[in-house]
Amino acid sequence: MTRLRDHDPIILEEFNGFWKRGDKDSVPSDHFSDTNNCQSIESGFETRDGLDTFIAKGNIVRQYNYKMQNGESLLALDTDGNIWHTLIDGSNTIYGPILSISGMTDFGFISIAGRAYITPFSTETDALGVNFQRGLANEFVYVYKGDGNPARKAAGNPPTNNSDTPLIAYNSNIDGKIDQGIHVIGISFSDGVDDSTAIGTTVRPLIYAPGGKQAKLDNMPIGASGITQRKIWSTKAIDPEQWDASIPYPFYLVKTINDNATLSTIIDFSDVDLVVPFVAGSLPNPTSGGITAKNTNNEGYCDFGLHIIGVVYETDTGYLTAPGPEVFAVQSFANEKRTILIENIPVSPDSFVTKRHLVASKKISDYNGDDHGFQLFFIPNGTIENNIDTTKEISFFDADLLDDASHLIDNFSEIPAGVTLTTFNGRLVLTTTNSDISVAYLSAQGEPEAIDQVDGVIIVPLDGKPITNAQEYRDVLYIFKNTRTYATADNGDVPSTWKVTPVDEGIGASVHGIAQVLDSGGANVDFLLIVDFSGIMIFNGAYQRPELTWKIQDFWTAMDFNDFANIQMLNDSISQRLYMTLPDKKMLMGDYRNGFDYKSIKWWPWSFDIETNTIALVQVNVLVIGARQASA
Amino acid sequence: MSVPTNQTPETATLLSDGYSLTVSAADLNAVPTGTGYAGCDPNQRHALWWKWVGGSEVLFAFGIRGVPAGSSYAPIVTVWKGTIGSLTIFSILDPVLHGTIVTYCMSLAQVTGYTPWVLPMVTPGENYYIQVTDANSTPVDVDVTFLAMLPPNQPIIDGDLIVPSEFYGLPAGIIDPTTGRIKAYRMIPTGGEYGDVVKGYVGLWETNFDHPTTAGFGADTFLNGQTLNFISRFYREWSPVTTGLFALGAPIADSSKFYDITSDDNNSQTIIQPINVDGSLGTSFNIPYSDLRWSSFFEFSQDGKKIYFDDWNTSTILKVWDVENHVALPDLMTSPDSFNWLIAFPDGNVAVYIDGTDPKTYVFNSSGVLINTISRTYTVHRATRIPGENAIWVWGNDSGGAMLSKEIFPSGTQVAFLRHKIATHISGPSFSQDSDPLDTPWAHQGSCPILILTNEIIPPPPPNITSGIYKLVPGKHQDTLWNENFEGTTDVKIPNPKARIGYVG
Repeated sequence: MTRLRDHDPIILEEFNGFWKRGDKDSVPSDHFSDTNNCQSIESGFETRDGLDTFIAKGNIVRQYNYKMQNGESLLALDTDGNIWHTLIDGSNTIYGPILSISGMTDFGFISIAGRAYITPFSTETDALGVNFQRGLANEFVYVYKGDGNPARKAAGNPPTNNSDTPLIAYNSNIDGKIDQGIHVIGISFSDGVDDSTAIGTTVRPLIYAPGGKQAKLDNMPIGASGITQRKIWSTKAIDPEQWDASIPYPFYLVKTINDNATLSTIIDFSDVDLVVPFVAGSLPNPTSGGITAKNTNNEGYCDFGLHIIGVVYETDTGYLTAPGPEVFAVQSFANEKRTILIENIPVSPDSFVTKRHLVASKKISDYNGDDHGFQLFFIPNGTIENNIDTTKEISFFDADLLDDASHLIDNFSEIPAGVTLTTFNGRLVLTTTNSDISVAYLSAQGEPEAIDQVDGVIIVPLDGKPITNAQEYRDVLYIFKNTRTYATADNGDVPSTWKVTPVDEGIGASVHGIAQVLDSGGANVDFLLIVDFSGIMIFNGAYQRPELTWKIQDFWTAMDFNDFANIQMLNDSISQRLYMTLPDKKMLMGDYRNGFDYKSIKWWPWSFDIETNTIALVQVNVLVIGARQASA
Repeated sequence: MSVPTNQTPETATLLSDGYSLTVSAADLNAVPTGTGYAGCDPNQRHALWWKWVGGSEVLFAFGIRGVPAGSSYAPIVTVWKGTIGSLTIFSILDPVLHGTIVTYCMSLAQVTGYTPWVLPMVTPGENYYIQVTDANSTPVDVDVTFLAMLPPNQPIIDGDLIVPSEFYGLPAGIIDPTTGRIKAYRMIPTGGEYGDVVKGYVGLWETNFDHPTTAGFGADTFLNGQTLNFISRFYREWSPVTTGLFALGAPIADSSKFYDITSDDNNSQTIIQPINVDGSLGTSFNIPYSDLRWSSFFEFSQDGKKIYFDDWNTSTILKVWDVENHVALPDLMTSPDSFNWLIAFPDGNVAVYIDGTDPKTYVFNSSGVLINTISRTYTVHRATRIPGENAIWVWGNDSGGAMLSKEIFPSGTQVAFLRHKIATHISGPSFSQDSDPLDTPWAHQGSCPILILTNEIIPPPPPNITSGIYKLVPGKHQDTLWNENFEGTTDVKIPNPKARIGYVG
């Protein structure tokens, strides 16, 4: 080789990619001051790999690798707010839209047990012109089962009995004169002259009077037009030992209510007062709806005393609703050797309710008319394996009631939409709802749709900035804002008791700014890669500096922070590449085959004739790019 | 010249485009009377035969020249088809629902000054035999030329004029609005007493005085690209329940609906029935006048909110009906003479023409104020609104004969004028591009509309969208992009690959 005088040749063994830090004179000789659409090869570089069409579905703004139980696929959101489910098994099947929501410009996603949980959100701009993301107002988390049927709202409505409620009778703690023993309470309609054909209601409440106390009636039925009175009837005291549900014990008038509107009343009588027997008339018999319970004459078992019985719906995704209906069955069981017949069990109008579970309290000695103040348990063998039957005969002892259903009471029946969906300790994590941008909701363990509105709440310090991301790492849940990082851990109690600790108040993550590893959708390398305004940070419990993008710091900081939500990052640990979409809808690739540190990684900016909005890794490490038409 | 030998189907002369044969009177007289093929002429005098094999064209023409009025030669044309030995008379199956077979006979006698033609509609591959006989028993006294040709078939574009035949079974002519020459013919399933055009569709209606079975007949057409294929889409038969007749129009230029009107004298009302282009019916409404008839003129304002119509009983009162509120608005004008035509323009103006001793066109604005009165020196028979323009084509007659005039409104300024070789009415005898059909005996300027073709405007293809979901393929040297609009892919070079080395300080 001919040498120029005083000039030594520079031999470049490696080309180490893009350098954008400082002025051009500072660019090392083995880096490029300007590059586009190239990638590293051994001791050289070449034009980047080309694209091929993967799914013929246009105008994609967000996509995720959706792992079903029988394979993987893509969920892709288009610019019209439609989410499509595309199989990648070669069948070219595109389901959907499985969800269409006006105004949905982005969505959060997590796959649990083959089901896709989807939360629609959008980018908003505050008064200072700063973009931020939060869940769509009046929208909800949806669940999609991967079968092509439209997604539906996650969770579900509890049983309801509308306005038709059962007649309830119970002892008062106010002194009175009701004789000790079982009394059956009934009611009839009267127009002042005539009376009902029989004493209602169909299932009449019992009280076991302790003696010397009053009793109270709730939900007294209202008669039709023309009814001016309602009469309260009772049997005389019956010894529990003698109680027989098949005997038509005579009723005597206890009280006349001279209206057709009152719903509750107090009764106080002694057996000696019971002298006016019931005489059947011709007016309609009072009835009442709602769930009821009563002892049968069938052999069985139960515990003596007042119990509350309700219903929990189970959906096809395993979600258990809050117990219902609004008014439970309230009944005193009088014969410990007989079964309990539950009737008028609510049926859900939702087709996705596949089972119903009967729940009950243990014996209540101080019932006060408030159905919802008592602990409820799943009744063993109290499951109805359909959404059709309205009766079930059961037996249980209070000692059998072990499986607590109380945690369902405050569940969201519709989970408000947020931004991030992830998991932690078997719980679904949802952040940044429209009304609570600094709140993370955590579900019950193993029940991703069961989010307690009270116990499932974690509040990150309020600073007016929304939560942007959340990620489990080494049994710690890290919650991020744009420039903040917080940590919380499971203390064995409900999430609302967990302590939230700031980790770093200068570094945070963007909405999609935590790298997903391969097609796993999680962080399985012992660090997190986090998109911060200052660069890509390696996080292993603490942030490491220099940031991974140290060599291209000027390139990084020149990006529009307002559009950092466009950055989505993937870690192909097999090819040893980082891929990320950029705010300007281009891409950046980091080749770390020579080492995963800020010096060794080789950065390569890429551009396309399309706008690369979103990326995913499928089939282990095939990069899939969701795009839309490039701006003119 | 010699005596033609094509005296039987077996010896029929095969015709081709441009065929011409002149036979002297003596030779024609030497042709014997035919036998066995008593078609339209049972006498079969001087029977001569030609053969046409149907090709890709839908029409061909057979004509006779040189037979002046008063000649003793009275040619009768019978068209046969099929195979020799089992020839059947070519008939027209009335194409819209009637199912009636009409023998296709044509008398070409007593016509002079132009070439009369027979225009059979042919089926590709079918053999057609044209039998010409002499209905007159006296010897032929003129030399006769027999001709055959294919019709013109030039591309049809928006703005071309369509002139339907008044008679069923005869083609509509498509006329170049700048030259007046015939560009093409298309068979239509009906004649056209009334008609109008919406984008992509032509609606025609005829009273069919000469129709063998039906007194009222709603027809339909379909316009497809630059072809003009008339396909039945709707049919509105005259109903004996009502006592009025139909008229048909598509009064709103950009509407997708036609409307017919039926006068129900029994209930003293007129029924306005929208007809969608797919043939389905819209919601009809009534006008409480029983005197709207087929000869009435009715026109929607271009905003669709008003209907202008004339009082049929007198044809001298121009009435206005509020479609939105279904009330009568004040009459627009009263005329001493009958109205001849009524046009509503896109700018809201309305023009009405009154013939008679002092032909004038009156122009009213949308408020009913008379804004112009235009005198005419010639008789106007029909006028047709040019879609999307404040202009009309009028078909009139002045001292020079029939003519077409394009006029813009409200001024009434004439901006185009066509007279020579204008085919303003197509009714069988006039055919070629160079014919002068204004003299055709079947022309009836007062009963055939001129329609202005408004083709479906095919929007330009949107710019290609190359979005989609892609995968990165190691070793692939180009990007294959999905063309969303075209459902295909395109290989493009990887854009602007570059690697610029840093400065070595």
